[in-house]
Amino acid sequence: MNNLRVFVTGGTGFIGSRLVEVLVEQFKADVTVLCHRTSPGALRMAALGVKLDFSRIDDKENLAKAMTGCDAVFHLAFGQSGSASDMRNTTINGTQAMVDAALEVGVAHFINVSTAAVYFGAPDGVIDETAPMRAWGWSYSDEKFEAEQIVRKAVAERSLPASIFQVAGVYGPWGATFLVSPLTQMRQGIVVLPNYGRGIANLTYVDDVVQALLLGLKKEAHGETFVIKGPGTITRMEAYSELEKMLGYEAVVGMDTNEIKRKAGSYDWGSLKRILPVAISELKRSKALKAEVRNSPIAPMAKSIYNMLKPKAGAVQAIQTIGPPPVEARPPLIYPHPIMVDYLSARVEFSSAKATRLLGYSPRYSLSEGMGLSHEWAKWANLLGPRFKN
Amino acid sequence: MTSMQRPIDIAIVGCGAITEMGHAPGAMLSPRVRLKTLVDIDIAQARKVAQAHGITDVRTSTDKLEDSVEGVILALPHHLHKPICIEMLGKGLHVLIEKPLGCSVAECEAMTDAAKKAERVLATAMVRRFVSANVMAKQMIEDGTLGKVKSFQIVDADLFSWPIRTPFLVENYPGRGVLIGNGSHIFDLVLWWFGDVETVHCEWDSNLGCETDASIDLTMKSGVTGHIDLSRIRRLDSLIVINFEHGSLRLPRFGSGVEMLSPSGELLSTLEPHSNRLYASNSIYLADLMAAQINDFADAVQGQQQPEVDGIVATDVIRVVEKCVASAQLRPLPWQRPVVMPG
Repeated sequence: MNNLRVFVTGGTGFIGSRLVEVLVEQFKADVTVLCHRTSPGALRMAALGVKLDFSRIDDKENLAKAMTGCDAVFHLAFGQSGSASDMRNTTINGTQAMVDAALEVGVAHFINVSTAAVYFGAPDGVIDETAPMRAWGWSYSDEKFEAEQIVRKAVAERSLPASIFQVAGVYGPWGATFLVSPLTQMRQGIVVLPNYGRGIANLTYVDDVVQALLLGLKKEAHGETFVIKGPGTITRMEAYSELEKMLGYEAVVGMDTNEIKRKAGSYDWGSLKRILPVAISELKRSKALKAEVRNSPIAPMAKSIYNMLKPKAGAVQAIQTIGPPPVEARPPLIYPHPIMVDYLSARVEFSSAKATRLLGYSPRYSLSEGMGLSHEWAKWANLLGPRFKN
Repeated sequence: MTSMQRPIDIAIVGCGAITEMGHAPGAMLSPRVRLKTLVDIDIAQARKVAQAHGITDVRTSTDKLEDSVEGVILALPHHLHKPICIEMLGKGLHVLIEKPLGCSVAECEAMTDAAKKAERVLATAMVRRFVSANVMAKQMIEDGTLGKVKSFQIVDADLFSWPIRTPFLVENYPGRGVLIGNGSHIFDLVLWWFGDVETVHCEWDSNLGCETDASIDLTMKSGVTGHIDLSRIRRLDSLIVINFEHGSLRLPRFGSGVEMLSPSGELLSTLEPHSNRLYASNSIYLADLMAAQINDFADAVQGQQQPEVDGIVATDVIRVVEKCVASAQLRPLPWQRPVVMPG
């Protein structure tokens, strides 16, 4: 596996940046990372000495140039900034352009990274890649699902040597969804978990995901879809308890799923969902308006609305406050976004048996080991501390 | 300046984020200059900035700039500082250059020599010199109000969010790490406040010249010791603390409100530093601070004073950066393990 030439999209993000670190530092790979702005992730990649390519992800010609001579392509990117249409363009048209470019230059391995959230709706129990997939309203999952179809079509009709890895509950250093965002939420208030926190978290430490993606370089992976999950059966409450240990105080409570839905029902989420992304997009474009809002009495409300709709990518990022205002300085309750309530409640456990059988996938990190390393990083990243003052 | 002195005509070369947010509005606020010309190879960006301020002379080249202005503000990718600065000085223009002065001491010395030869002002934009809290700290250090300085701690670390227009920080150019980026400001303050550096020890996350996170321990020739944390990849609580014999000062990054603390850390009082707006500002707005800096530059051009940060002082800053680089060791990352592949 040493000295490969590799092209990575999403390499400035959480999973991608760890993959690139391992490729460069352990396997001496010559890595090019697709990049769209000078972000902290891009700076980290520059510090590793990898080449950053600023082609647009929907620009097949330039992608093909960047991929020329590469042994493998890892495609992790998805749209997470700009308007809904920008994000969709990145994920869907971007995947199409990536597939077309990879076929044009004849890369030997195309590893497409998707999410196990595409299986949402399966009955409680253990499921694997044979379970039905569907779009269910979470744009991140739905667009990843659509991108998978593009890859599958290219495999079937154009012999793309591709594999699809549907990763579940990925956490670890730099991870937003299961580490940074929850820790931030828990410092802001008490996080409410539906189904009393009994939902299955299907957590996977990021290095186990990287192991799986590197196993995607085996020919046995071609044409296959793999669900990737860490060891053990971990409930969401158990996962959050690990975060409470890091913080040193209690910051999570379980609640009945229907009660949470009832609270959410008093809000017209449908119209908010339609209107507010447009408003936020406009706000982001106008520096002057942003400054006006920031200095106005509506700033706190604007901030909470912005925070409510900004996230697209993560389940826990989509958490928002809808509870009553805090009374007597009690920390506010932080409820999940209505669309995520059933998802977070589900007691569906993923099986990675196929990846183990065909590729030898062997996850190494128990919850306590993975959270232990995450704790080390969270201390360094200044994410731990007392509750924020409201 | 007397009321009889005319403002000097200037151009800005480079119309990226720092010009859009700082230099251009700062020049418009300054009574000491008239911003006449904007130059950028990205003409659309130059026009955008020009339109915001009613500037009509927009160019893609510095050709014949000397025919219409006396001074230029250079706000360019770091690796272009030396060649463009020397070119401008050669045209007889005075130069205010965005920090860092150059990417190495050798570059800085070449630029300083060029300024001397051309008999033109070479000033470096170190905007924190114009934060009135920092000016107050300088005065209190010199006055010995709280006794002698013993130590300091500075944290300047946030997730990188500067709306940079060109990707030079992640491309293979010199002068792109956090030491020369954020560090230029901090090392300048440290040298200004505490004098020359004796020893430096640095720990960082990359030895490729594009480090994103660094911690530095310094001992000054005066015996003062200090610790600095710089980062573009983690958000730490900003901090500037100076510990004296009889108490401490806690300074804001920008704005007003200098906290005076007892030796045991108890808040004694909050001081409001004097803001004369021309040379020191309590403002949190970059444009106000830039205006103060531009006033200082214009006064230097008109021969009234040395600029606050001239080429020699700015070269000393890069000398500290180079000492950091020479001493740097990779930071241990206790959360990282090798990925063990099956079989």
